[in-house]
Amino acid sequence: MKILERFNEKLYEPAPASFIGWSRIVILTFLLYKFLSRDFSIFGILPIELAVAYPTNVFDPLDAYVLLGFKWFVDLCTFHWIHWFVSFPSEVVLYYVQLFLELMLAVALLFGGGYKKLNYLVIYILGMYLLGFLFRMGADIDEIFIQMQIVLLLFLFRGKESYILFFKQQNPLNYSKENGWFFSMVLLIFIAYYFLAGVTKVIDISLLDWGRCELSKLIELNQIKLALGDDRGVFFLRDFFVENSWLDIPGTVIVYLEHLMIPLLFFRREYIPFVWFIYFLFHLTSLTINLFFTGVFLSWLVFLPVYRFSQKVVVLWDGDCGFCWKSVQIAKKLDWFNRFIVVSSHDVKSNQALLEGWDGDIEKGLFAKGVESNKTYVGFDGFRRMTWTMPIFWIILPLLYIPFVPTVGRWIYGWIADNRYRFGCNSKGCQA
Amino acid sequence: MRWMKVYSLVLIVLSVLMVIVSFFMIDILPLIYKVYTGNAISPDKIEKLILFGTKVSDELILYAALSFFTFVAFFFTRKVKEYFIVLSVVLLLHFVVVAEIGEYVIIKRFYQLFVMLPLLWIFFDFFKFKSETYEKKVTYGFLYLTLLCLVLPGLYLPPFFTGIPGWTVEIDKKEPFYIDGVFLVRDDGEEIRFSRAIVNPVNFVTRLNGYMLNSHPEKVEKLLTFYKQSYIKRYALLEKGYMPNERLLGKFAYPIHNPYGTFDYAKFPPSSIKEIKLSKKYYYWDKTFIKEEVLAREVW
Repeated sequence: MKILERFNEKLYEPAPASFIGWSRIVILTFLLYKFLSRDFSIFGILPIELAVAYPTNVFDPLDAYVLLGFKWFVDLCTFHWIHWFVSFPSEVVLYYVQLFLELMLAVALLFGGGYKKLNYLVIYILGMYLLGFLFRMGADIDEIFIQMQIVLLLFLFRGKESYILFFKQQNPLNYSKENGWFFSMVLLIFIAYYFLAGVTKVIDISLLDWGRCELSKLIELNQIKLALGDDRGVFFLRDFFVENSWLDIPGTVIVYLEHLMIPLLFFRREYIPFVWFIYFLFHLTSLTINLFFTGVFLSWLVFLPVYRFSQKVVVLWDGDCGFCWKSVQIAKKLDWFNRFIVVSSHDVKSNQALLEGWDGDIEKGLFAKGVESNKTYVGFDGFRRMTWTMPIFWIILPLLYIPFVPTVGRWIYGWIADNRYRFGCNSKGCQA
Repeated sequence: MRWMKVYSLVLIVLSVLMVIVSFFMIDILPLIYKVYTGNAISPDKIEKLILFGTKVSDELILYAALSFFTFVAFFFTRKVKEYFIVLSVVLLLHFVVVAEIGEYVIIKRFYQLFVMLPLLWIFFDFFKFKSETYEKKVTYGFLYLTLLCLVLPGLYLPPFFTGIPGWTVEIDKKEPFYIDGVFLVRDDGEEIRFSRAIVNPVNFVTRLNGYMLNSHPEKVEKLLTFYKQSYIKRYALLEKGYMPNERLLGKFAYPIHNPYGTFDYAKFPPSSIKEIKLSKKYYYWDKTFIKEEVLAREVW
């Protein structure tokens, strides 16, 4: 089966160790931030009728949302089975459980998983236990499931970590298949989260229903309720949507389609920034109806390739082009941390090891590649890869990934490359 | 794919049985209700159940017919590829036509369960769990769990679940709307909204209210007492203009899932409050107040 072969190939596509360390930093910081902003001791005074409620009791079974949210399933998954034997904890006990969890999060954030990654297991158990009080009511599901799955994955990962203090670790720029597997699994966690939500959009509702989401009216209602003193937050984007009801259908359709097509992201990972951007807009839009997916916003940061800030980059330029030479000189000046290894097209033979993956055609534009990486970038993409290394460009870096900007960028780059002799190219080779 | 023939035959028989069962929904539903919730249905809900039974029996006939044709088609599939083609066609047909006629999500999800159930076997056979490396076992385990979430309706195994449901929103501006929630009433009759942030990390206060009102109407005062206790315990923060989630990190605290409003609780010290109530306030779209329906109240 070709698809299985391709899947296995992608599953182990080498990735740098920095991804594991960075994922740990993002997810554990997020969890620490969240727990420091919550007080779970309140569940110590919850009326018993609520304490023993389960999703099957709270939700209408006809909606089938958490139809199988039975006591046994929920208790086993949240470690609340302990209350089959022990009574519900008091406020004080819950306070100390939360405090211990926060301490463990801080420890794991600094020192990693420790012996057999047990720190992550402790975090998972305590986290699920505390969050279990919410999960029993079917609350906070879509806010925290991704993060808890990644904590579990950190426990299951058998390789060495990175970005930790004192203990043995991998070089963040070490590429390996094992690290690649971890990256793929994190990607699969995100894919599963959105894809499952996508499937419900074709089962629960019909094609015509896709056009029946009157978002602008709903937002207007939110605004009116807010003005009448309802318990809602203020959000500046509401006005924009209220007056633009034509956005209702395309906005909904884009999100639903992205949900359904997201499995393709596993095979075409270069589209991660594109998908990220659409979901950023989607989750931002959900604020207009008073839903804030802070956790999902922050969790997408795991895909920020932080290793690029520190990785040495090979840059191959057209040695016959004066404009290119000047451009490279400027880039070198802006390379404050001395990360560029600049190679002229005249010196290709003596740098073949560095230029692995280059197809030999300099007419396509400048070529850039992280030294340890197998990924190669040409033309506009090469320039974009270079900007990760030049701090002065960091402010515009996100803009270069916004959908359609790369398309326009590639077109402009192509035009400049085709006309480079007009911008100060003065050698015969270039004109030829 | 002999098992597919057996499975299809079973489902064809079930489809026929479903038509028969649909005529007895009014008798069967109270039993299902009792098994699922653990409580016998109260007399005031019987009327609603009869109405529901009538509607649902029509829809069951529709889905029985669809299932019948679907599984007759499955019966003739010989390869996995053919199953996927038929599955795609029936799901598309369902999405475009049948889902538009059908009303109840639960019936749609059960249809999904039966047409996708073979996937569990196909993929179990597909992923050779025993012969794989540790990483692949983890990967396949995760994918299988995801598949279970896909197939089983409303599967809830935190941190895994079926996914956010599909939604539609249709609003008629001529119809009144309501604001429901908890309100604190001061000695002088002034009211203030009891923000959901006060009982944070509990976020969906209206969900709790609905649950208590529906399942334990005789014990709603316990819920209101819980709100009262929380207010008193957290008043030191509320008085200063902070919500409980801002206890340590102030205004930089992690926000709650549903952003909350700003209310001046300094003017509502616990000693000045005479009542806590759970109510629905109805308005027209032009903000004209219509009426207030108090669902529960408790003297402070």
